Amino acid sequence: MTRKQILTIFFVTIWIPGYSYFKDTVKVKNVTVKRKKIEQISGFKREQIDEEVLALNPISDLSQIISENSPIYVKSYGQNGIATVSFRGTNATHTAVNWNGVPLNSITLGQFDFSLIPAFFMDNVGIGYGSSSLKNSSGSFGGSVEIENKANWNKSYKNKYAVSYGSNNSITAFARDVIRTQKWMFKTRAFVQHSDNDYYYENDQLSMEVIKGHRKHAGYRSAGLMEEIYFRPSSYSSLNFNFWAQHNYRELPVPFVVDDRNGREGELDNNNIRTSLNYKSLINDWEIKATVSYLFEEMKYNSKFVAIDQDTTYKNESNTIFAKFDLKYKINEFSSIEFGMDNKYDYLNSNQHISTFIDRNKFSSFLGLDFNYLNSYKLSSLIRQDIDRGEVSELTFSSGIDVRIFTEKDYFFKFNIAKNIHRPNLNDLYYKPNGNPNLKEEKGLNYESSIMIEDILTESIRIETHLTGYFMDVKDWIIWKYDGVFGEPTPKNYSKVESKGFELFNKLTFKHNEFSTDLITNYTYTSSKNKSDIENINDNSRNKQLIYVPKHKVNFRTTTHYKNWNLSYNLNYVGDRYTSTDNSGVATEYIIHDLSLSYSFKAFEKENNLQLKVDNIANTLYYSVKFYPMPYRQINLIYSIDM
Amino acid sequence: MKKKAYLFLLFILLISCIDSKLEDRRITIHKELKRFIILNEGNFTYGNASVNIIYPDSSTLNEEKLFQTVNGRPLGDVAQSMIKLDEKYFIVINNSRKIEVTTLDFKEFKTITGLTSPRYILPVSDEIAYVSDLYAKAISILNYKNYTIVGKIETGKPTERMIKFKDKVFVTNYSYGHSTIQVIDCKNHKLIKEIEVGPDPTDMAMDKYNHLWVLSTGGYSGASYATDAKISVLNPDDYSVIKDFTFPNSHPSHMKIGVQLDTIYYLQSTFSVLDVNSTYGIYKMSIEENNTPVEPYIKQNRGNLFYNFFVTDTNEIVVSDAIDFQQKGVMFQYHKNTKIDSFRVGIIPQFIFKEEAE
Repeated sequence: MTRKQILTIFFVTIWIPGYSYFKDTVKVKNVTVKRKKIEQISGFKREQIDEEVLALNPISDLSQIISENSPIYVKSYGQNGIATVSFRGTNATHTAVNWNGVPLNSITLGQFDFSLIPAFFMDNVGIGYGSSSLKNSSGSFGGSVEIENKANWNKSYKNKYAVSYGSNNSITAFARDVIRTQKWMFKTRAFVQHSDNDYYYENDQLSMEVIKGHRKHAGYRSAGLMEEIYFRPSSYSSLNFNFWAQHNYRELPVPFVVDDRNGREGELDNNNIRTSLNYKSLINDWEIKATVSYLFEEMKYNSKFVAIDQDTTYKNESNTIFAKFDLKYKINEFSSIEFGMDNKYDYLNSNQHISTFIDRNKFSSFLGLDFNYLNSYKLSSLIRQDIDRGEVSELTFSSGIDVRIFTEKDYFFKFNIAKNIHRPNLNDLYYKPNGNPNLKEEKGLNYESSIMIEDILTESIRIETHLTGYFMDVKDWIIWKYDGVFGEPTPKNYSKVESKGFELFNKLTFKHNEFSTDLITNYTYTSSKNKSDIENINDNSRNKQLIYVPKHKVNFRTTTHYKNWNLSYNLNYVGDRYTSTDNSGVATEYIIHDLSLSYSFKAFEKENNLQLKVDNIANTLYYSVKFYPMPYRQINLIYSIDM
Repeated sequence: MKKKAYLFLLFILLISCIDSKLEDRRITIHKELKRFIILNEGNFTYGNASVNIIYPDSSTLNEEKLFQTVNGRPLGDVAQSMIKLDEKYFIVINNSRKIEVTTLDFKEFKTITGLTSPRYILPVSDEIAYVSDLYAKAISILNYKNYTIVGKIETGKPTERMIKFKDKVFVTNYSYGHSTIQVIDCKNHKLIKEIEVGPDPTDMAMDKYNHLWVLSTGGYSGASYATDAKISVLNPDDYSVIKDFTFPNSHPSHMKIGVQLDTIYYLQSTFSVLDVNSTYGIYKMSIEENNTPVEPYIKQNRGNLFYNFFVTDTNEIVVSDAIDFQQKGVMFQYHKNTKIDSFRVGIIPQFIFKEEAE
């Protein structure tokens, strides 16, 4: 399927709801329309990935969930390979990842590996675009991903046990137990996963003869345990404790242009322990939230040359103690004021940095004001001040407005402006031998505007359309560059980047008796260009798209329910990505089709579900990162039972 | 309104069926012209190594991505060096762990695999060549007539550049702080001697007196073993040191010798030269000198990144500029120390092979 065909499908799916606006007369039955409340953070684009999507993809990881259900580009090194995201043309360090409000980004690399989070461990995934997460912390020019675990006190939980078996000897088993009383809830989740990932391939890139065989050294295994304890002494307060331990082991295969039959093998071992204690309370007009958290990560990279039996191991252990306090006061029915502060202390044991022990402390505080007039006009403003490594940073701010365009309709106009800063990570500052402790903060200014429409056309048909345009200007962007022929690369505040684009989201839902279907389409256009001053007159990188930032991305998903059956189809298109700064090298576009069919049934008085999932139906060889092949057709059979 | 909408939709569907197809390109090698074959390393694990051909006397004929265009597949990952043996080109692709053998028109002929991290090839007889290796701790013995690896010489250290002198091959033990060159008996294919030089020895040259010049880079900046760079001049018969030159606070990276074998050139480079009075660039000195020159022969200008260079048979200098290591680089051609031409090539141009007009 070509890019033109993809765009055809896209325009067809938006045409149908779009066309409805131009009909002269619409006959509808009387319906009760509930007005949508304006979101808490006005002016910014925020989305939720449905619980239903997570439930339909229990064996997927967060990188697959985001890639297939949002306009965000995921750069992946293969199945269960390292996966990072790029929001709006920024790089992976400009995306904040939070777990129940606790920052999870690596303190060394500043980024987050999305392949390490199983869908089964998440109750909700929120996506905030641009500087919408400034209320949580500074630093995320591109956006934020919020992973949430929660207790739904109105829900009747059942214990769930599931097992899946699939292509290339891939096995996953997961379980969830819930014990609850009126005031207590204990949720336990666990999973184990193993895959040989030794898929058959035919490599015609490496040599004259086509090399056929099974992929070597690409297996992985992981296991995790999550315990959540919720205590609700009253309807106005809650206390919860979260514990999450996870082990991931990955073999690192080589790209297709490297002979994997006699050479270097790499392995990556990650061990994580994450804990948090959260308190919330509502006392009259005061809302109080507090969080204390401890995070530990151990990462070991081992590189071995098989032929000469030579091993090299790199290792680091990072620890974070995080504490946060928020206080919100409702001044009157229209306005509220909020104050928050947090402190994050990181310390690192490593054999790769200038010192074996490195620490860093960041204190941050913010003051916010919200004004909401009759749920028709909302204004939010916020200023934030950080103190990092004892130095006071520049003030950051955001200000946004939501306007309800028609009184009884959920049609909104949004606009926001924000100034944000992003600090260098520990590798930028202290990596051996050429970390740069004198690096400045990156500074970004962004503007964003949206139109959002949600409407009920008939009793059975509902539509949502969101169109967002943005512009971002970032100065002192940190780039690692080679300092001479013989030097190692060094990070410096070299670049200016200008990013702009638009995002179009469309959802059409049809429901009639036991039949329902929805069609969801996402399209993103991103122009993210280097605007740095040029020192070398032969440098052709100015005004060129940044590497691995696609200009075009399209998702299309349709999910159909009928009685006990569920059918889901997903199409994911990613446009060409440049692999060189002068845009002379390209990783070519690709289109992937996924299909899932599931059936729920009762047996022994228990709810059972059988799901057949086929990813990459067309068995396409494609690369997210050039020459690192993504999985061929994957077939998985998943069985689950609720008890 | 409805009709127009349906027509528009039909139009969209129709144009979506149109497919476009790239036309195949053929390459003609102009053997009647003098030409430089440029190997472009490409980026590690990106698989974007490539080959350019430059015609200095007729630059409109220049071609890029020769191997990929002719054979429909990429050259590989990190092109390191090439040599012409038995009317074939042997192109060493370091991180792909292979040697691509092609015709003189760059048509693929054979892919030699089974190597670890190959670097350079040196013929030692009518059918045998040595292949140095960065990680294998051994030199592979290649039969270049039947394109097979027929043995190994255990060295216990990385091996890099090689020079043949009488029945001996001298090989540098480059990187990881090794400070030796090794001597191989190329009749018996055995290691017979190690000689101390400086850390990370890389390039070598034999002058007109049959003295062996060895450049030791001193190790990369920040390495625990890093020290001053050094050029050692040795007697290859008895391995004694005739003289040496030390470079305090600098690290020359490459060294070549002029065609008359009486002039040494070496490169001292850095990125982002901001000072117009900087001392970076290509230096030149007579083999009779006992002191290194103070000023560069060809100065590296602001913003340039000189990566490697080549001395032609008319003692012209061709220098590569890698710019930012992530885009197509440039070659500069100098006559004496004046720039006379420049050519856009591939990513990280680093090896030049010259072919004369036929």
